[in-house]
Amino acid sequence: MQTRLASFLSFSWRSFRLATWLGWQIESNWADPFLFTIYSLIKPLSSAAILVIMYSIITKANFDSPIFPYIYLGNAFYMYVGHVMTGISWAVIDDREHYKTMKYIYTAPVHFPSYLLGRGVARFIIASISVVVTIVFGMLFLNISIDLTQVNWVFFCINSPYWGRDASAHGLDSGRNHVVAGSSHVRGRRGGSRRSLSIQWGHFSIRGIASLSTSDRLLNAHYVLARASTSPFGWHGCLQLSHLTKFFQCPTFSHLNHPDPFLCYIIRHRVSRLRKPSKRTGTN
Amino acid sequence: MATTVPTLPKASSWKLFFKTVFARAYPRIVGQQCEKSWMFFDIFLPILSIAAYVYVYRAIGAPEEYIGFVVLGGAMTAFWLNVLWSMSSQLYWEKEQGNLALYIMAPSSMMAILLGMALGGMIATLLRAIVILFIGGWLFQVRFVVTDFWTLLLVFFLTMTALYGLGMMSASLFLLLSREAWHLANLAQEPIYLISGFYFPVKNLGFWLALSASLIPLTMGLDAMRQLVFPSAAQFGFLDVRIEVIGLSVLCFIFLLGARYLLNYMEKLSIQEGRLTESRR
Amino acid sequence: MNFAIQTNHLSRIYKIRGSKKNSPRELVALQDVSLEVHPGELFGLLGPNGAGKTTLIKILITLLAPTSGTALVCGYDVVKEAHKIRPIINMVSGGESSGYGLLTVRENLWMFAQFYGLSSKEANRRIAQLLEVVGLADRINTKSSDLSTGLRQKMNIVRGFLTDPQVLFLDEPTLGLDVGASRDVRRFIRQWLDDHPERTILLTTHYMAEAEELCDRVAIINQGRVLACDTPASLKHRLQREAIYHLEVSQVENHYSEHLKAIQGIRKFLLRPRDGYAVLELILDQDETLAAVVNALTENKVRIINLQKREPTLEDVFVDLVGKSMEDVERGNNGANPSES
Repeated sequence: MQTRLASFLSFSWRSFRLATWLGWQIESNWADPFLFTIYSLIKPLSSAAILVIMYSIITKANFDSPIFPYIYLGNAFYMYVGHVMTGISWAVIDDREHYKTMKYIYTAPVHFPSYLLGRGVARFIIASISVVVTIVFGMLFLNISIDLTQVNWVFFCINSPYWGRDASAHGLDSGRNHVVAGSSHVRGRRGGSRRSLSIQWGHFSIRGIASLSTSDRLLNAHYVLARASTSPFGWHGCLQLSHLTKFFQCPTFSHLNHPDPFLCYIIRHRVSRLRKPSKRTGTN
Repeated sequence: MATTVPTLPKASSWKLFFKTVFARAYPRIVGQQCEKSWMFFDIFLPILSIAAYVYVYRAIGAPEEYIGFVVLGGAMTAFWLNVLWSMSSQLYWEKEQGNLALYIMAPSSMMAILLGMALGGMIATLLRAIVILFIGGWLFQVRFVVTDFWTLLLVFFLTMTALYGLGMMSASLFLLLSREAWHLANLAQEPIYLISGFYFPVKNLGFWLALSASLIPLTMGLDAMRQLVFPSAAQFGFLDVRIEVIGLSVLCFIFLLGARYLLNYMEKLSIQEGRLTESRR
Repeated sequence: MNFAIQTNHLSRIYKIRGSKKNSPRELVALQDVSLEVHPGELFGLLGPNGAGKTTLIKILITLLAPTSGTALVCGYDVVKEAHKIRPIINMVSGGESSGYGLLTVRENLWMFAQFYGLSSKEANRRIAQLLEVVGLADRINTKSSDLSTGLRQKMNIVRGFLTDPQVLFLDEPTLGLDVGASRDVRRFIRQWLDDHPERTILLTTHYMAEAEELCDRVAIINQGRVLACDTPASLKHRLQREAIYHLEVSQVENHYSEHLKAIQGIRKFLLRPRDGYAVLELILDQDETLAAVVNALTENKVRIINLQKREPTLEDVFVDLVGKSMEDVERGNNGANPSES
């Protein structure tokens, strides 16, 4: 049993390692370092700047309100969702339709999920650069203060692997959809791939709403958080962000700071999943 | 078996132009008929992405006009994405498929081919924009009050003409590009949303920045359309609608002429450097 | 005299992108190529992979500018008058999958016909006629993504002929096709030219038999240079004064090649090991030299399994010019011409 496990781990690790190398080769060498740097800076900062300007117009640049860092950090971390999910699932489309290597990889002794995960690592690294750049920019120029001593690091560390895993799982799920779409003559290659991509973007949007939404006028906050629990980033991300910022210290939102129901929900949810191993759906 | 094929009849250059536009639009039109699920995924789901911005505005207590700005801006993103992905970067994809050489070698104009590409996707683009407007407007209770329909139509037409001219100019740059084409097209999304004021009045960027941003047709087009569609939006407008109409007309002329010149120049440069048929992906 | 194609000291040098600043790399794809193709000719360009055939075609179809020299197609300069050349030419490449998979065969062909200004009615008539000739009429409404490689290539070949070009460029049109399909394509090409004696075809290939079968004249090209240009018969006739022999012998030790080289009267020889025996191809100055070769083999206890005197082929001409077979040249080519890939 142990030998089999060791063998499986070695096999998966080999697949993951090679795919990581391949993914980095593909993602990193399309431009010289200068252009790559420009790309890594402009894209995330523009995305953040849209929200910053929107906010500053309405609130007359009141960046001291805790809602601003909440929105800002939500937008920053949201980049992971897009990069990781599309990074993994697009690898299937690329390999199949452009490089035409999918058939060789699939029939090779490669652990395919590990391969896909490895291909997503490069996008994760690039996303991390964007996220860090955005956060640092916010700290330097927009008065975002992240009090690292106030963060519930235990909770943060517990959550991070979960939403990282779940974002990846969504990517794997989409990747599987792309593979299935490719094999289905009824859907057709492009239609299936396109539909899977569109479903992803739909998920992004839903999570984006959940992540950015802080209004309890339109959406009851508990309802938001409960709904967000169905998606990897919305739930974990919201909770993590709330602990990174002083969100819950703001009087307007302090009533949301009930760790007990959250923890109860998490524990209940996790226990129920441990009891009933079900088909991997990639959702929380 | 003998083949008896008579000589190719000559078509006038305008006739060839329109034939080419229609012929190149044809694959796009057929593609949309084959797989109809795009109607749901490409049209309804983008509403969710503008909903995020709407909720942000509502969360921070923005006036209701801003919700309308977001809905209108969200509808117009469809056209920018059409220009970016169905026109500008399309030459890169054609190169990858091996069709670019055939297009260059044909006697038809590259402008006609690019226009055909863009118009082929126009059905989906228009539908996407209209659905976002109507459903977004209904969902978020946005009141559209068109004060001058013909001016609105003129603004829209000029904006589209100038925008597609700009798209052709950028397409010529993509003739020189290889793998970086996709990334550069991807890069052009958010910065344009930002400086063109898709989700907020561009006036707030300051006069000079807003004026520079007006080189992008959507900036002035969106600003003018907002003033014509939302009664109270005049106070949020950057320039008077009449000035913006004149500006858009000038941009139309510059970009269409620029596209013609730049396409010829870039084609020659690509031919000299041997980049038309290489694939460095 | 008006030539259909004329090149004058044509050269093309590629700069290799991505090389380090200290060591700029250049690749000479074509060097001093001067050719003249008469109207009505089926002219062949024969050479191994990386010889420069595709580069030459790309220059002539106005997709690539020469570094130096001039090229004219129907009297028009490929650089300055490209817009005059494009309406009267067409090109078919082998091994490509251009076209749109979601369109049917007819739709793909119709679309490309529109780019040349054909009316829809005329285009559809020609499409039906040409598909009938190549044996694809029953697949006219099949999506091109559902076609096999061979059928897709036939569709591309029809696309090339559809516009009735004055000069047609065929770049390895039978690449990747099976024997039957290749034969059909060659037959079609020859028939078309016979029916249109005023048209011209430039065909590139690395298949000797194809060049011998189809071409009125052949230029042999290697490493960017034209080594010889004449009719296949004349090229082979050059070697006819030499004697060409094909021997199958029992295994020959490597060092034995040196013995063979020392024999006077052997102009060229190729030793190819096979499974259990070896093939020895000899080009001798005269028949009498064969006796010395046989004696040398016998003295070294090499058994002769088979001995034949051959008529020279274009392969022999190539070996005579280059010193190696085309296979050996292709094997030895590193850093192939980027346009040949």
